[in-house]
Amino acid sequence: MKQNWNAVSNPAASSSQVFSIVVLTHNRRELLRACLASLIGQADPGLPIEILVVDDGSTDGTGDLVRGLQKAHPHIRYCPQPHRGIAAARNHGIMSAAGSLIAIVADDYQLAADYARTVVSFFREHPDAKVVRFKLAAADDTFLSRVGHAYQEASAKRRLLDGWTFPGYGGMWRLLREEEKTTTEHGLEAAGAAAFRREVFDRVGLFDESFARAEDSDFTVRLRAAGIPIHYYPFHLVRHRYDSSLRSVLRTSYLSGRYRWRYYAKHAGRPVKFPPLVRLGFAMKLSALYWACWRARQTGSLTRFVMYLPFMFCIEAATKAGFAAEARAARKAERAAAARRSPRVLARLRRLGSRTNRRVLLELVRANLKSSDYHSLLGGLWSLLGTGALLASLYFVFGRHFGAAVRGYPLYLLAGIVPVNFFITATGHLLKVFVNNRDIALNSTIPRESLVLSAASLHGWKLGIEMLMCAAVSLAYGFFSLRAALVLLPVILFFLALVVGVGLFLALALCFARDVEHVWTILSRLFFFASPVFYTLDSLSPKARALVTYGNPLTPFLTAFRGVFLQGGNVTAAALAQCALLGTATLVLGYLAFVRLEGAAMDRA
Amino acid sequence: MNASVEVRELSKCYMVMRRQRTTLRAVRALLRRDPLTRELWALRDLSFTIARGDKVALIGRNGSGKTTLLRLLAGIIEPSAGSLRLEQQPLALFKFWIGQNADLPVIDNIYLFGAVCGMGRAELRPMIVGILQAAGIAELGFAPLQDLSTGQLQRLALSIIFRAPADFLIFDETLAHLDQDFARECDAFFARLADSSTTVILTSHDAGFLRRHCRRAIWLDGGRLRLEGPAGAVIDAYAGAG
Repeated sequence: MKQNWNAVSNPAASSSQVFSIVVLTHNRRELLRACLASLIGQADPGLPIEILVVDDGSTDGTGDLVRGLQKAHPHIRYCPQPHRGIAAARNHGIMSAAGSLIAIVADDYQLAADYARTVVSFFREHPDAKVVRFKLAAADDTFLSRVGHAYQEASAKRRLLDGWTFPGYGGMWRLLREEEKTTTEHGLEAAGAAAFRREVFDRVGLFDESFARAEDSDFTVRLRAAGIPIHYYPFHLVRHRYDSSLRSVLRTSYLSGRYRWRYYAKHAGRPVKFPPLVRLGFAMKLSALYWACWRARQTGSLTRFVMYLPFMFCIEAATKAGFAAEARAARKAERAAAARRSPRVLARLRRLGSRTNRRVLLELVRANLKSSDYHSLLGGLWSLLGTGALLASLYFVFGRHFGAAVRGYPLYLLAGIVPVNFFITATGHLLKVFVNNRDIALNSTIPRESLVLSAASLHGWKLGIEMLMCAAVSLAYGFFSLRAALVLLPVILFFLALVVGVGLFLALALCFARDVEHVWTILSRLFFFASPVFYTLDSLSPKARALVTYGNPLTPFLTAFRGVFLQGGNVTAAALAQCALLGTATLVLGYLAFVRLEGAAMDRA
Repeated sequence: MNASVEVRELSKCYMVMRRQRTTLRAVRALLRRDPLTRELWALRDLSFTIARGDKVALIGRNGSGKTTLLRLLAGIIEPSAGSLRLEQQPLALFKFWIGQNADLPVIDNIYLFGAVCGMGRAELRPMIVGILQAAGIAELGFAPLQDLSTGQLQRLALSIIFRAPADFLIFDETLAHLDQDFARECDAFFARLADSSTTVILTSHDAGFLRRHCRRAIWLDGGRLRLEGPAGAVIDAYAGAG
């Protein structure tokens, strides 16, 4: 169920002159104790303070600690909730707060004694300011704390820059050299160092609870969309206790990466692309290098540079791994959703085989045949003229050179010209089947497969007539036999399967790139010369023979057709199996691609 | 309610090309994972139900998503998000020249378009004369379809679809610009359907026609559902919105 993050923050709360400090905690009793100690001792800011401890489902006795403190400090309020994550805890605190000013900190923050006074003074001195964020500093001086803080600062500054481009990195260097100043350029990250006027939540809504991290980045975007500047005030430090174990740091970074992807997916409007490996490597290397350099420059220590670098790499790698994992998970979910939405192949085939669609297919085939040259025997014979003319030309040119080695060379030529011509013309026609029939595809319930099959059937008819002609010539030579007739039928069917499969791929490709037609015209010409139409495989050099035999899908079919017409059907089982495999696999892959890409292709047809 | 159509949070996004498509650009985009297209959301989060036998007018300005919704209902395109459940398979008429072959005679086209409408040759044969007469082209049965005027083509397509055995009909602006005689025939057809269990969804800019024949109306605005309810009230609100 969708939740409304645009709800008013706390309609019941009066906008009284109170400063509410919301402390978020979850199973970190001792850290909370230290944090509350720093808050209890706050200097008088000139406003009453209330401290709300939002307990996000702790089980370590946090409640007892807070209730114990409440006795001595009645301005502490305890607001427990079932464990729902940091964004929900923030929202619970905001909803429960009574103040006109609200600051949100976590249990691992340590506030200076003048924290409350600084917040109140800032808002008094800047009546137009709605949000202020202070500079974060590491509370401890351990090595991991320093590295963690360097990385956190690096990330915050990197977000100032526009994207991941190389000019962006140049800008980063410029930024490094600038002194800290009050600015509205920064984002809200980390929101734990920020304070708000209550009206901000009334205008922008609450934090998005679908984010376990990066909820502050999401809030930054919403603040900016509402025209609310975020004031960065670097002259007051909020101290943060960073994770003390590397494992914990890496786990947090991984989680941050995951939610960073979700953040991009939400605000970019579509899932952000996962950078290719090289780009990813560059980004990691540069990020780590920059920030290690920066720290080295700050401290003037080369040792620190050398020590920071591997840790920076590890943190960056964990973040990127989280980002990539989330991208993969989202892609998988998208694919699953698309698979659920799109009808399965079998369901489509059942639909295609329904009585209504069989009728439609039959009428389409009839209509195509009737409106073509092949609807009469004379028309069919007329169409053979082209094949005859090509046969005569090739025989005239190559007859003397190759003819001597082949018995029945004219038939050899014919058995090569017919299938190759069929392949070229049929694929050239199928290529345009979706683009030419876009109107039908987008405005009719006729299955799109019917368009492909009816177009293929027209060429199948022509192939049938030409194969009959080949059989007649073979019979005249005395080669044709009953065995040849029996082998011919499956070879033709497998060849048709190959052509329809290739046609489906091409038709889809043309929807995505218009020049596929020109590319295919050139490739078709190459196919003619790269197929053993007028030459024999034996006449080629070993390299060329291997290329033509294994690199050209038409060669096995030409060999099979010649086995049928010139050798009385002497086609080996292996050759037949090769044709069957090629034809079936191409058709199945073409159809699967069609089912998968049909929707996208039609959008672009 | 016996729902014929149940639509839940239905959305449709078209992928629109950013620039001219070429193979090199497509390959480069594939390698860089750089989209060649941008999204265009035609429909967003539509939810409604239509009862069996209901006559529904779909209204809205050009580009509001009416045709996209009808294409989704007809099963021509797939939704990008949300769900769509249909009790009956619809027979849709989006453009009256679709599914016809201009080179062939009118009678062959009647068989072709009749097949699209779910009728075989055996069922159509006794109807041929009636269809030609209803379309006002009784003497043009053997003329090539391309010799017919646009109006004659429209009457021919409607004459066939009016005889089709359908229990769910979709018309997308295909009832506009009819001559007076055929408009009366259309009125009579929809009047006959009024109390039948045939579900009808139609779009038209003829408010009078929609008021006469539709009980309910759905108003789409910018791909979203603006208003849904009794046809008269929704059409009035739409007209009032200017």
